[in-house]
Order: sequence, then structure tokens, then C-alpha cells
Amino acid sequence: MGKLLRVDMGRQEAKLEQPRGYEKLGGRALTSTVVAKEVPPTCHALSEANKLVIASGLLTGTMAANSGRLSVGAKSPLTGGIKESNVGGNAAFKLERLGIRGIIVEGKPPQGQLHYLVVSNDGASLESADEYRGLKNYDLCEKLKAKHGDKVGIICIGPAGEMRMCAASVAVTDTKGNPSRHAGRGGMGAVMGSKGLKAIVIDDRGAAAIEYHDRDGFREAAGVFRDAIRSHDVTKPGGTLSEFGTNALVNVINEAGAYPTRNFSSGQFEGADKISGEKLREVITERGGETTHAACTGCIIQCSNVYLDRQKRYLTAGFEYESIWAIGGNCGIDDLDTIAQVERLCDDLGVDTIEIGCAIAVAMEGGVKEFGDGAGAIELMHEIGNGTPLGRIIGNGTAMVGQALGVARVPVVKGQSMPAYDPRAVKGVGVTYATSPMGADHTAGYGVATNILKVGGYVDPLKPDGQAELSRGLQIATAALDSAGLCVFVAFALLDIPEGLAAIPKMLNARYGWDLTADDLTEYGQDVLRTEREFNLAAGFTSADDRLPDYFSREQLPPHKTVFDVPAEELDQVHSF
Amino acid sequence: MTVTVKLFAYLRENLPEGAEGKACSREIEGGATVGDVLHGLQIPDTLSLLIFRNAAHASRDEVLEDGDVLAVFPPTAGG
Repeated sequence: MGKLLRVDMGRQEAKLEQPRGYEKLGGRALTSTVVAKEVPPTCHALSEANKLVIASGLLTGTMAANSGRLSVGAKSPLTGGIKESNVGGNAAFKLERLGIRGIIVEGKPPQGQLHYLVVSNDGASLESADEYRGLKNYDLCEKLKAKHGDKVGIICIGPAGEMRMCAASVAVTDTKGNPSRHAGRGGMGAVMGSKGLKAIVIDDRGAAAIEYHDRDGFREAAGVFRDAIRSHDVTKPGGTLSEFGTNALVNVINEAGAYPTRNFSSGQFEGADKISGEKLREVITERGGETTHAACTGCIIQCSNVYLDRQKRYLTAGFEYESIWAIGGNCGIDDLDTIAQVERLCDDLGVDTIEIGCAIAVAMEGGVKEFGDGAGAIELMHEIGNGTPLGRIIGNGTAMVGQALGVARVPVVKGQSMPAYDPRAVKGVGVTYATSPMGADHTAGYGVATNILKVGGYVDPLKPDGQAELSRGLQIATAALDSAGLCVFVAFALLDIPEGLAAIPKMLNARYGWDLTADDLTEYGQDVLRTEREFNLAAGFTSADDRLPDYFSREQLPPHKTVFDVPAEELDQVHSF
Repeated sequence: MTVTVKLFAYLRENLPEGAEGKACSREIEGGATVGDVLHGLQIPDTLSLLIFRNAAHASRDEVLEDGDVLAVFPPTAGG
């Protein structure tokens, strides 16, 4: 496997080293293992003791489809626990081509210093980032590309990261070089900011080709894997993901009565049609944007998009379901252009759209703005950018806003805001929100697939039965996928097509000369979860942290009039394996 | 009896002429099933679908009642 690049911000040194003790690890397995081994669980997340770990996956850089994901890990300043935030873009592929599996950023620079890291075939060096101080992500990337060439990949933070806000993201350039992809969850941008690291520029010119233990064997397995993705109704070319994008879910989740509306007070939004995938496709097509777009190197699903404003100028890319929900339905806003402006500001300032959308919704419940006030939401974004006291409260996330305003209905678990599925009406994902070491995170165990979309079987979303078991299986599988560097969307195909799933260990074996079975891959995922849980326990978490906020089990959600009723004993058994 | 049918994504092409937006009303006889209504809209029986009846998952053989609302999707994902 590739080497590790260890960057000491105190000594201003960047050194390549062999991955001793971290062999066979990639993606989330690598970030979580390094954090567990090298970061004191009780440290302050913004202190010198924390480390930011960035890793490509075990299959990244190869001919495997959809293997271009990047893991960003650290102790989270938002949750106080371990974090792996997963992102697409073009950086992971370039790192792997340079023979680098991971970057460990540690230490702390002298007060006030800001640097950026350049990684190329010639090695790695830290440069002064004084001229880039305070820049927003789009401007920053333009300047870095002007200096280092427009083919580089960039991992960077905006002003929110520099201000060490708990909702700060780590941005990654997409396949067109725009910083539209974000490791949003858990405040990884704040950790990067605390290290005085503004950006990482990855120049893979002159890099050697990826090596395979068995190239022909890999090609064959990668073919089976690709065919599975290309044949499933959801992921195939012309399927709903490529044609309508992730936002096709608005109408599905709304019709299922699980679309969190106005700070999780209803499961259906009367404005859903206006912000739906169908409407988005219509607007994008009318203005000449792109409805089918690969956000990550090597993607064959192409679920993303490019959104133009009314004047047909580029406004944002990666205008996804979660972001449109968080800023839209959850804030009672039904205007796509307004939502797109807020989303662009999130990307530019470098904050997580889910955390910020939920924070704004709680601020609306607390009376700072009215629900539905799009102009007000944009004003709040500028408050974040300007670092005003109110902006800093919102930029530090949903829980902080709830505390500052005395709001009791705060939809967070382990301090992290919930995504776009009400856990009362999609109980499988509710179990994941409660029990994932990451805090409320849909991607950690996407129960929606089986509860609502009927992918990989069916478990009734409204009943508590079988949800803990569903979430357990999905959390384990996801931990393995995240470590392989595979997009979680391949699971839609693999849950229904067993030979596609079987191709994953075959690809790993052909790449590295291993002898993994499918069962080994399950154990691999279990090991990742165990490592993460142990870190959290040592950081002070208890079973009380594996619960949804109390009101989800008391307040009925319209239209189903349902509450979250998966028994606590079952939640406590999710990680018994 | 009357039921409302909402069609999504590329199924919207199956809405009858004169339908506004995503939905249409269908007159049905007693005992008519979800499948009968879909058949009447020229949606092939072989197509894999995600069907909600009054916001709950439904199958093609369920018998409809007056005032029911159906929402019908092709296989969909996202997130």
C-alpha cells in the first residue's frame, strides 16, 4: 500500500514514512485507526494533541468504478467523539497515484501562522498561506490553480475553518476543479484550521501508474462490479440517480411522510414540488446547466449536477438532496434559487450544509427569523462569514444555537444534527442516528434504502421490529465500503446483485495479493466500528449518548402520528457483534 | 369512487391529457386494485415500482377505497 505523509505543523516538516502498524488499512479504517492510536480521547479537539487524518481508500486510484472517495478523520469538535467525514472530488485519486495512502497533520504552528501543503511527485513542502488568509473556497481555489496549474486537486478550508467553527467543512475540488465537494460533517474544517493549514494542493503530474498484484484478475472483477452498477435500475445510466440526481428523493420521502419540515415538526412539506428533483431537473435544463455530472473521479453513476442562476451563470455544483432539504423544507423555504444561494455560501465559507440548515431551522424556531424567510437565511450566512457573535453561534452548529436561544426541540445526536429523514417515520435510519459512533449520520447505515426504497429487502419503516438488526448490518457494510474508498451509492446495486458484492474482495485480492473472503470484509467493517466505539467510550460517551433526543419518543409526527419507539435495549445491542 | 394518482420522475409521461402537474383523478369501480389503476394509465405490469397509498407502502393487488391517494415512483434512490 501507499506511504503515509506525516506533516508536523509545529516543526514545519513533511515526511513520507512507511505505514508501519497501519498495513492493510485504507479510507475510514485508516483515519479511525490513526486517531484511535495517536490521539488522546479526552483531548480538546482543537488542541495540539488532535490530528487530522486524510486517507484514500483501498481501491482508490484503480480501475474500480466509483472508488474515488476520500476519508477525513480526527476527534470531532462538534461531537467530542471520533469522526470520519467522507467526500468525493478529485483529490483521493491523485493522492493514490502519488503513492500516498494518507496524510497525518499534527502539532500546532506558532500562534497566527497559516500555511498550505504542496504534494507532488517531487515530495511535499509547506508554504506560507498569508496571501490566502480569509479567502473563501472558490476564490482560494482559483488562486491556487493559477499558481500550481488547473489540473491539481485541492483540499481546503474557507473562513469558517479558519475561525474554527464546529460546522466547518473540508472542501475538495470536483472533477471540474470547483470546491463543491465537502467533508462536511463533524467540524473537520475547524480541526484543519486549528492546525493553521489552509489548503493541500495535490499535483499528480508524472506519477507512476497504479500497481496490481494480478492486473488481469482485477480487470475481470472490476468488470463484474461495473456491470452490477450499470444494470441496477437505480444506478444504471438513464436511471433515476443519473437523470434526476439525489434530489429525486424529495417527493419519495415527502410522500412517505418522512420529510422533516420546519425543524422536524411535520413529515410532509407543502412546498415539496417546488424544490423536488423533477423541478430541479427542469430548471437546470432550461438554463443550460448539467443534470448528469460526475462529482468524483471514476464515477459511472453520475448523480450530481451543475446549477446555473437566473442569468445562466455558474452558481453551484453538487446541489444535492440533503442540502436542498436542510436549507429548504427544514427551514420552510420553497424557492430553489434562494436555497442554491445559501448552498453556494455554505460551499464558499466552508460549512456543512446539513449542520447549518438545521442550525438555521432551530434559530427560526427560536425566533431569530421566521420559517420560510429565504432572505433571512442568506443574512444569517453572511453573519457566519463576517464572524459576528450570532454568526459564530450558528457556525458552531445546531446544538449551540439551541443552547444560545433556549430552544428545546434540537434534532441532534452526540451534538451532530440529523439529516433529511425523520427518524420517527424511517426507524431504521433512526437507529443509525442514535447508535453510529459518528452522531446523527444517514450515510453511516442508510436504513432508508430498505425502509423506504425497498432496496436490499423491506423492513416496515413505521414499526420498531427489525430496525436494530437492519442498522447493524448496514453500519458494518458501510464501514467496509468507506474503507475501500467506494461510494456508498454502489450499495444500492450491490444489495440486490450478489455477484457485484462478491467482486469487492476479489478486487482487493487482485490489487494486493491478499486472500480475503466476503466474511473477512464483514469482520473488517466490524473492526472499524469497534475501534471507533472504544475511542468514544474512552472519550466519556455512555449508552445515554446512543439515544435520540427525548421528544422524538413523545411528540407524534404527522401524517403518520408516529413516535420513535425502538426499545433502548435494542439500541444497546446494535454494536454487540 | 374516485382516487387521486400522483406520478413521479419519468412516469409523469403516463399522466393522461389534461392532467395538471403531477396528479390526476381516476374514477374506479368497487373492488378495483392499485394494479387496475396503473394498468389504466398504461404503466406496464412488468415495471418495478415504488407505490405509496395514503403515505404507506402498497402493492399492486391492494383493493382501493374512495378518496385514496396513490403516489407512484420508478426505482429511486439518493441521499
